Amino acid sequence: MTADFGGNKEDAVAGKSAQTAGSARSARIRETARNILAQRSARVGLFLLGILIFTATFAPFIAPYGPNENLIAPDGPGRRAQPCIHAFYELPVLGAWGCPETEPETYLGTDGNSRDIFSRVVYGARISLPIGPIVVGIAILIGALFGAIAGFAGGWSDNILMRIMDIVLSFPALILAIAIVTLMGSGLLNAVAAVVIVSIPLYARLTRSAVLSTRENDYVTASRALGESGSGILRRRIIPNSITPLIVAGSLGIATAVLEVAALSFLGLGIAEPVAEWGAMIGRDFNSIFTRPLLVLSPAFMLTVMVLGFNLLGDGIRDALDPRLNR
Amino acid sequence: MTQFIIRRLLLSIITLLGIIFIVFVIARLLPGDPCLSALGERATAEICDAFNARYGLNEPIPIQFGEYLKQLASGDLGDSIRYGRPVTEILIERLPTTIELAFYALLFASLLGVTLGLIAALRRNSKTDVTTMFAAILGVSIPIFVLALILQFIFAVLLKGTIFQLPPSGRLSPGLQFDTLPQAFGLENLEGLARAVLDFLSGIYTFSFLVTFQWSQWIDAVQHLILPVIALGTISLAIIARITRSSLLEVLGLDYIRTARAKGVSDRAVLRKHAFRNAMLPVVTIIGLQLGLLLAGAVLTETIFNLTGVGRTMYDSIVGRDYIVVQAFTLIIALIYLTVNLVVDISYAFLDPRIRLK
Repeated sequence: MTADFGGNKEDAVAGKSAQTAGSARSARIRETARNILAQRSARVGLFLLGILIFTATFAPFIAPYGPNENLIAPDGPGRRAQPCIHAFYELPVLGAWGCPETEPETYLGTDGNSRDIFSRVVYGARISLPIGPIVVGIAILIGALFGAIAGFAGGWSDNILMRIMDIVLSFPALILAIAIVTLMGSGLLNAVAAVVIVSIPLYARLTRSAVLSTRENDYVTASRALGESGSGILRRRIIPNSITPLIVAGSLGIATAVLEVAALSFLGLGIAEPVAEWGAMIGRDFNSIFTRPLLVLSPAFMLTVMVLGFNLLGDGIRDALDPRLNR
Repeated sequence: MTQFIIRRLLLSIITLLGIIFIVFVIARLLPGDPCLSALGERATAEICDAFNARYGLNEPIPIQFGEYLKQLASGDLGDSIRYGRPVTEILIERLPTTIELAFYALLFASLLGVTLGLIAALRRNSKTDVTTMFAAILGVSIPIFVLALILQFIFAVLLKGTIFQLPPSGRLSPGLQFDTLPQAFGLENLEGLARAVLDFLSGIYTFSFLVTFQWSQWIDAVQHLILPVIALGTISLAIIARITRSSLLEVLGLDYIRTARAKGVSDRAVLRKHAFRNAMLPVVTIIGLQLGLLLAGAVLTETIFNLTGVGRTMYDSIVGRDYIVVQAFTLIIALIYLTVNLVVDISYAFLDPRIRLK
């Protein structure tokens, strides 16, 4: 176990200049990154996510059409059309997906509004990719705050906060998220907010238990004896030492968050038409699975690759950071 | 031990009361008018006044809550605003679908998950292990609705006409004739609680067709269940397989296992007598925790496979502002959830003395 996010080490080198402390920190970050990259699952996960980030960044160059461009025209492909690939024209078997060069090329066919599925799937990466990290980032900030208050203050505030967390946890997350979205109205921001709310208890509990176990350490007692304020102790001593379990849980939580937002979109409670988002694309057309499977399976494939990428990366980060698993 | 159980029970009751209160408030905060939602956009103000008076919606919220608690205490869950029927009736009709689905999904996930996890752990770092674990991580990464659609596509479209063809949706083939339990047992005049229980059991087709020897109907019901059960159970299957593997590997690395080996105990006996039971502790907890995942997954599974179960009804009622149904169903879900958690906690304390001494 070499990765150490502890702030207390800095106290040991307090006599050195701020610059050395800074370079010690960046050395630690480099070391941690090396440990994570040593995990095969993390490398595969980063590779998959790298492809998606590339796709999202260069979407206008990859996609032949805009995400909402309507290809309707007298000689156009029409609605829910089969793929039209010029190179396949006149080939045996593959010819079913070919068409003459006079028609616009669509690699995966068109959707119910005559839009190019391939282009929509490519642009969808721009919407779907950032959602997971954003949700988990906000949930960790709020959850860590609640957990730190509950663990540090104890007593009444601890009881009330943790009972509320229990109540949130006693609902199946998706059903609670549906209720929250209904309460606030559907839309991407509200779907994200709903998933943030149902994710908070996990991080609050983790932080609370980390704070409880850190609070009694000698160096905390020492800083208290030196007259450091409560918030100072919390900010400089306790939180830096409680952060590893949060990073581990958070990196694995991204995949869950992505799945929940996608499920809300699938049910029609997430992002509104016409924005290309994978969950919503599947939800809108899932009845076409029997007639135009590509229409549904293309965004489904991308969504699965993304969640797989986040899961593999999360696994790798956990294996690298969680000392109990180093055997 | 008794003290531990009493304390956990009290905590559960407090949480349950909190849930009842919060659900009640949330249900009333939902935007939209239940009257317009139930009677349509053209309902006049007078009709809506009468409607609100009938369902007690014109009273202040604290009074409504008091009335609601009184009603609950007498075992009445109220009448659905949209369907105009008692919620208990709807519950008896729809709960069996979800219970059947979740039960078989959990069975599928636990049996196969533990087996795969065991195999992977025993052949650590072999090809089997790597493949199984990659399949497991793929299993937790596929969204339920994506897996459901892929299964439908494979078994109802690609394999259509072969013996592997499976029905894509519904619980039974349309037009299938069958007898319910009261019909089969000649108890159609039965009323009250006994009838409710019998109707409820009738809804669990794989059970009711079995005890009444309706074989072709039973096969039909099973065929309809296969795809939804796989779709719903796969995430839990993958989670259980991963936990089983890591837990068994951890136990196999402990000193007492080495001691047993050193004493000359065979590998098989070490596994069966020493390692397996200890390795199963975290697995049991995880299996208990799957319930929430299954209930949430039921919303998606029931949507795609066109089943009218609890998940789908819950979704329809939240979106359609049917407060009474939302409240009642949430209450039932929370009750099941809390009970299972309680049982898991208690059984855990029973298995591991360190927990109850804390």
